Amino acid sequence: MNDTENIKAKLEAKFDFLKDAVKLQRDRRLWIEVPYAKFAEVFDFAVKQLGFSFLCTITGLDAGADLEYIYHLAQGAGQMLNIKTKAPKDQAIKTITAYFPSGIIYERELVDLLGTKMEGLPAGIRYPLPDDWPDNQYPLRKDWNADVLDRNVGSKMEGENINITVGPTHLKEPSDFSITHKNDVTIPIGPQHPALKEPESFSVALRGEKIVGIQLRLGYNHRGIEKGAEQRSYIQDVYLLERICGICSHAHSTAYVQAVEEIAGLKVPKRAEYIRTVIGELERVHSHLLWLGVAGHEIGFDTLLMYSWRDRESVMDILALITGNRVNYGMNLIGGVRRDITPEEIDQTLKVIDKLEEQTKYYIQLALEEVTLIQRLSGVGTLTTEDVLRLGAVGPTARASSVPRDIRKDDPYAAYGEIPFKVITDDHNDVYGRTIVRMGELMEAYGMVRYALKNLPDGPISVRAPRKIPAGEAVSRYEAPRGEDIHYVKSNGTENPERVKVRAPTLANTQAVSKMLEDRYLADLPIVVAAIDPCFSCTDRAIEIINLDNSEEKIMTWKNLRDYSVDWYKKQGVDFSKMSSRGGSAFGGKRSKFG
Amino acid sequence: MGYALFCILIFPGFLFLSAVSLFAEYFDRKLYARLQNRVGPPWFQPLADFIKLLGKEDVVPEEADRTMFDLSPVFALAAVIVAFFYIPMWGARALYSFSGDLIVVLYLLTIPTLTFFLGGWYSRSLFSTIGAVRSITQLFAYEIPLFVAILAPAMLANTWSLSEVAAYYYAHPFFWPINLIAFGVALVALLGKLERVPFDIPEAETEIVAGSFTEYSGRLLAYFRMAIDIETVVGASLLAAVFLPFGLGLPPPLGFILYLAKIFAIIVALTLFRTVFARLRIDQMVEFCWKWVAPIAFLQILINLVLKVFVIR
Repeated sequence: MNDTENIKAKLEAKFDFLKDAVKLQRDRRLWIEVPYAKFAEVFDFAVKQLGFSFLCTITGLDAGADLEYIYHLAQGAGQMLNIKTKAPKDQAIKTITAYFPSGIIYERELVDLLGTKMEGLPAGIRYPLPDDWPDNQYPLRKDWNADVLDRNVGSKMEGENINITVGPTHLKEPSDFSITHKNDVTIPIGPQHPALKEPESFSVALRGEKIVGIQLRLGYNHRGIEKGAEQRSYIQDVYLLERICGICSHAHSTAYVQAVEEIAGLKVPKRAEYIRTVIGELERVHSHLLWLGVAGHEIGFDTLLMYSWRDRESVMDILALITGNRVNYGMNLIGGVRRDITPEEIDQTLKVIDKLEEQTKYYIQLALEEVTLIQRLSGVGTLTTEDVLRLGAVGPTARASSVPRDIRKDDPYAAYGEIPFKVITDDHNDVYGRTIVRMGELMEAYGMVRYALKNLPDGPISVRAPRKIPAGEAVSRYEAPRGEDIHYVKSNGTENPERVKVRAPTLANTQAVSKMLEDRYLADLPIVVAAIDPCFSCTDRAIEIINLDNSEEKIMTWKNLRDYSVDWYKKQGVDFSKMSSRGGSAFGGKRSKFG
Repeated sequence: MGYALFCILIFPGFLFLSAVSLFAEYFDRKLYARLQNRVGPPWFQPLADFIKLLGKEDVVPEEADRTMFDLSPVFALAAVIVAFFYIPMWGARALYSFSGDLIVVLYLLTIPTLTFFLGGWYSRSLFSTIGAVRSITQLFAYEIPLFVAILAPAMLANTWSLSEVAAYYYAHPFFWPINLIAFGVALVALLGKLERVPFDIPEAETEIVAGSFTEYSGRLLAYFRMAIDIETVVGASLLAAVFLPFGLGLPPPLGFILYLAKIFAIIVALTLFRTVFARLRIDQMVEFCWKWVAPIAFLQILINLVLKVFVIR
């Protein structure tokens, strides 16, 4: 009897009504359905007795008269228990923030998107909808569509003297955040600020240089992807979900196709799994090098930014060579991958990997020796092991506090079960530790890419997937560069999914940011925020896109667009058309030397 | 009268100084870029930036104190230009000198920092206010070491006049290496004065946007930037005059080239610091200055005192 069956046995022994009702979908995936009256008891047992110490996320679904909730709980060794429960739409459910403080953001999401009445939810800024969103509009309910919105609301500028009648009434300004001292000031970092690459907003209360309070507002990047996914077919969703994020695009599309493949019972060929792994690791390399540069910039060390981003270009070139795209690789299909890797591509990749390994060794040496770098990074943004477990941090943020939480090891997907690698952890508990972890992961990633390419199995790269996916549901976990990425997919037998839920790693990690900034200085804020490698476009998804512009739609092909831009610049007096496009600049052309 | 005006306005006054300063900015940016494996700007970029900024609209925040906001950049520019006239460049004499001009020059070079504070403070923007307070906090950390470091060679020369300091070392050509420790201290302090990495805390882009300069735009920002460029050259000239007073007797063209070589060598050092360091936090910066830089400056004073009492005389 393995661990999963053990848990199943314990659950069945404890609760009579769960006898033969614990669904063992596959190894490490358990599903139970409990009536809401029994939910608190089962939840308490799972958390306290069975050791499910990590809340992955809460999925909410509109099930006609009821709202259905799925609490995705996880255990250290990759076991996942999904507790389903149902409550009528007007019945309030109890918050679980007493068990998981990190659950607050997932509960706010339920409140905003599905209209859950949440009992005991602490006051705070709403997430993820805008402040002027009308009351009683819950976009993820099945009967909702964007037409009910007055599209002019929210587009008025302040001072135009328009009486905006809608607004959030169910969430008030937080009471735990107030200026108590006469010398305190609150400065706005964001939504637009040079330290931030994406819009989000921190209100930072300062006493002198010291941070005494911080308030985080997310949601500026909401694009309606979850709702959009319900209205598109499975195939279209692969491409839609890939566009959640410009950096971990492969993470999102892989997590999604894995869930769909699990529902459809597709056996993905080995070669495709290896190729997915190679792209995944190359993506990790590009993401971590990008992070290193951003971290350098945040602490005013621009030389590091210039160096690491120069090196990052070579891995981008490799990704473009293999997949045809720099960012949204479009590599995944349901049932496999779209393009094969040729032997020449393997050669090129291995060459670049060798070079990058040299460079990374140099950065590691730099991180170990550079005085100002160490001064700025060590002791900053401390997050102890207990904090990580309590606040549910994931990825390098967790691993830098000695929590070996890595889905690639805990719940292996793609080819990770067959490729040897170490989970890098560190016990510095601070930003410096997170740097060490990411550098270590770069070294591991090079080894994994090398191993995967040298042991690439032969065979087909995809299997045929049906257009209609049979009814079912699955949760897919993926270790994105920033941490655990979770996709939940529910199918209903049609061409479109019933529900797609995404929990990106940043959402889990934002919970830890306030903790990390306790008693720190303003100067530490950029690097501490950057140290979780935040990706707010991942975090902000859901909701229908509202097009305020009613102008005629125009379809522009790539060529049209290019011509348009060339003409536009010609009018400005700049002629780009004579410039030779450095085709295949990946390896030809003049490249600056490494080092 | 005509000659004096020529000296003040054209050579080696305002026009020449501006040209050298803009070139120094280009030199710094280009070198910084090359060290970072970038291409860097063309030679006329600083001038183009300056002209472009002059042509842009001045946006003044409604809340700001208009007088102080407008006057700060002008004061900064004026102070650094005036300071330049009292610094010997080539040869042992400055354009103007009187006994005690060393102190005046040091005070004149403090004025830009004060204007950064006032300009930022009266912008009334939060980022500017924080930047302004940081400028002043930083001033207290580097100013004392800088004063002490520069007084050390003057003490040896027994004078408070920059020209006489230069004359002293001209007469005693092998004495200048004595002050090398103070030279290091002054370089570090100059980094703080010019608010450059690792001491660019008052302008830390990723925290407080542009610090004191956040609300500045157009003409006023152009003046501020010009003042900083000129301050770089004046600061480098001051260090060259006090700490590197060799080759002062060379004939004019050679002496002039040697002077440029000295200030650009100092700018190279400043750029190297900028390339290899990360920005410190304000508390780390203050601690560093008081714990290490100031005691080292006093060490130099001690060495010079001992030399003066027991060896030289």
